[in-house]
Amino acid sequence: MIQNNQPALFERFALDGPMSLSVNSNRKLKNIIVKMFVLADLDESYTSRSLVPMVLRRGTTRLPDMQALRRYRESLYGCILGSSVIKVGEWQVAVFSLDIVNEAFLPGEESLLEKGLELLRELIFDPLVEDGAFSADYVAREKELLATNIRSNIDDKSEYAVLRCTEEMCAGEPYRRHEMGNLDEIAGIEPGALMDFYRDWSSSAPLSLYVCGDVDPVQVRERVAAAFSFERSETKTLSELPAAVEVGEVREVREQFEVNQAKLVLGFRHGIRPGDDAYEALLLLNAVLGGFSHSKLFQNVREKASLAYSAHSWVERTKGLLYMSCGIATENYEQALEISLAQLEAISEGEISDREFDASLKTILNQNRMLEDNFPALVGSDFIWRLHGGELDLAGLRERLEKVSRDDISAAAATIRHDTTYFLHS
Amino acid sequence: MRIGLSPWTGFKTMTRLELEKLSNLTLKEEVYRTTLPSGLEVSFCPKPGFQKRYACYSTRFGSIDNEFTGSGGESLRVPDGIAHFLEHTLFETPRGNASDLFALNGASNNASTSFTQTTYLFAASDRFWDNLGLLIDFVEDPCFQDDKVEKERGIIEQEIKGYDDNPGWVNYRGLLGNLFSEHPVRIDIAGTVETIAEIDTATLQSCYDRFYHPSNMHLFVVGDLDRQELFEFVAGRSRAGEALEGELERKYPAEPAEVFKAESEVEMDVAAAKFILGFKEIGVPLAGEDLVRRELLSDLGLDLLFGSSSDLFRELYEKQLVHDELWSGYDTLGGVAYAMVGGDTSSPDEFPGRLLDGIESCLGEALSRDHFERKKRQLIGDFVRRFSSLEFIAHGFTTYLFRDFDLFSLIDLINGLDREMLEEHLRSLLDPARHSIFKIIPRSS
Repeated sequence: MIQNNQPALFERFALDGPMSLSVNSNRKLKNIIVKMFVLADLDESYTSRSLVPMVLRRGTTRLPDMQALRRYRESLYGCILGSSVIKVGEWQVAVFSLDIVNEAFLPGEESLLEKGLELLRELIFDPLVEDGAFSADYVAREKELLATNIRSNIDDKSEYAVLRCTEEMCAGEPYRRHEMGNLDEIAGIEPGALMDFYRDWSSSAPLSLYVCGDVDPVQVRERVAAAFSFERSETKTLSELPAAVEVGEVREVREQFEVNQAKLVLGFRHGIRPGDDAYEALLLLNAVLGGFSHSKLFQNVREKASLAYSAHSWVERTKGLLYMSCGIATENYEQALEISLAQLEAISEGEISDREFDASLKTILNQNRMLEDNFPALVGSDFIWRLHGGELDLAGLRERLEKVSRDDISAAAATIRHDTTYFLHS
Repeated sequence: MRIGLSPWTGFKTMTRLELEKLSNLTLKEEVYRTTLPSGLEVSFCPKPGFQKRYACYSTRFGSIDNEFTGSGGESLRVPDGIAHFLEHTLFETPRGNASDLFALNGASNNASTSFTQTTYLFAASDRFWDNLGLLIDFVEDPCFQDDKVEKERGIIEQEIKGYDDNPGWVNYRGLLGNLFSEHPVRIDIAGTVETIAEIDTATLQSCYDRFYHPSNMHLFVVGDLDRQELFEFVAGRSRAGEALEGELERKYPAEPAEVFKAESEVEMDVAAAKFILGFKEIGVPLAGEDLVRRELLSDLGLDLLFGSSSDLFRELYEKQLVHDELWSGYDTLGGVAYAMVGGDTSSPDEFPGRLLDGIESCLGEALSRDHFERKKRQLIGDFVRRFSSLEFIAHGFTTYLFRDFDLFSLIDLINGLDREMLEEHLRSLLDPARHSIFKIIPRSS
């Protein structure tokens, strides 16, 4: 890490057991944003792990159903309570969040944050228990909903095409698993076994808590320590970062649907991670290739060939993947594929114009600076950096970005391997 | 809280320009605004400490404005989807594509077209003045060229086809087509492949001349900037402009009170059936406090009746008629309005009817004092929370200014709501005689 004189983005506190607390105290927010990350490997229990937060949101010991929970939230000025499951590389992370108005902007109100933190604790650690298990009714309904949600992935064809490309590209690797779980495994999940799974997971998972807002960090630490003090078993160790995978011949997968617009998704592999020497070059490569409207994909697929409304690329940083995607007419498949692949090829051969280089660097630096005002994104980004053994350092990142040359970008492009071509068409 | 008009001098480039200061002491927020001699309204919200500076330049021109008066008072009818097409083509400048020019300044930029409004925006942490100059220049100095119009037609065709595969969008558009028989709200914002084929540089120019006149537009800037420098910059950079010739009158056809179609459905590749139950209103004011109060009452009332804290939702959920939460919404535009409640269901034949029946039986209980007061607290919380977002401040203020209302006053309006006015409004809004249902059914094959 490059040393600099910028104040750290987060003040860190170690709490009892495996929980870390990171606080960003700022004058920008009118609300207080709290996020709890509960970590695990993306292993064969992934369907149960996806179901648990859905059952938890149904009711706690004190607020035993959705109506009671929702009415209590409304009385706390409509605080937002969220639970979701995300995939970070080959880890599966449950994210519980609280967004509550800062009482400084509500004359006459006090202890709103304490009430909010207590509610968040109840949501995660104090579920409604019936006969030693989760409510059988809640589990049955949420299983049905989870099945519908997984089936509904097909509703949005752009996202579905990316999901299918990933399944094909990473067949045989844990990353093929969708964070929502496996449809075929849902029926076999029982309320008692799910409770045992939940107790084991929640008492041994590494926990990471973030708080952002106009707050006093030391006071927050005290409140969090008071709200989240409980017995825990030994903390589980997470698996290592996924190993590199060799790429053979390009896999081609085509699927037919009744659609007005076809979706072309190309999957690539790179081995570059946050903290690696080439990481900043990879970010710039994506900016030149397809991250923005000045990028090669948008310019060539959309603006020059008029083939698509959307044409872009993005980077998955933990598993080490890069995707390109566009929505086109079915008959333009060959042309769109050829133009898309030619853009990456051009970059690896050094074809990066002054304008492309300039615009890419400036746009990324701008995004980097503006991240300081976007607290959910700031938290998400720091969380991922910490999973990679570092921490988010925006000023350091800017310094390193400014040192990247065109040759570095071409060199990064040359290491990227095309793995899978997925085409959803009519 | 409105502090009132405070004359403020110090401009180098003009005299007698007054800034109106709006402020809210509880939120600790201020907005300054003025009208330039050209007729352009400019507002600024200072946000010290933020890296991001955000500007949006908006015109009261949306997809429903397809018939209006020309400079000689004559009536002009333009192809459907032209406001959105114009938004796309305005990016082509003699110096290159405006998005590319923003990128060279490091800014991120975008634009959007709704039923009633077109907005061009950028966000930047650096080179703010270059970017603001660019925004003003490209919006104020159009350059419509035949080849660029042709190129854009292909892109927009793909955009329209993408929407046609989106079940949520198809459901929403389908409902509006059912509710309204004449009003242009029933037309897709982007038009159709057929209607955009009729658009050329001449039709684009005629729309631009009427709707992009400074007196029809608003520039809103928010961020850590010097107030004096900002207003001086805009006054010096923005076009002088001559007065608009003739009055700009938008013409909306007479819309009957009855719905066009009570029910319809389409099949798509979806996992679960989707539905929207909608209600229609006509004779709605175009602007003013009454309109904004009506929107607040509708949002609050729909959430009271159908939100996950309501007894009606609880009953429907327990009977397994709805998969997850119901969503609801209310929108007013061009003299009409519609309320919607929607969700996913495994009983698409039975469910919307049950929902409709439940309204009458649950209305009394939903309006109890406890429920009403809790929902008001939620509205107040939502209002405060949104001031953390520069985007919300810019778009919220602009949208309300286009309705002759200032966003800060919303809190007073919320506090002034009472149960009697809510009940009266809901009984009129949710009139079973003016409902329609649109469903998306999973494809049978």
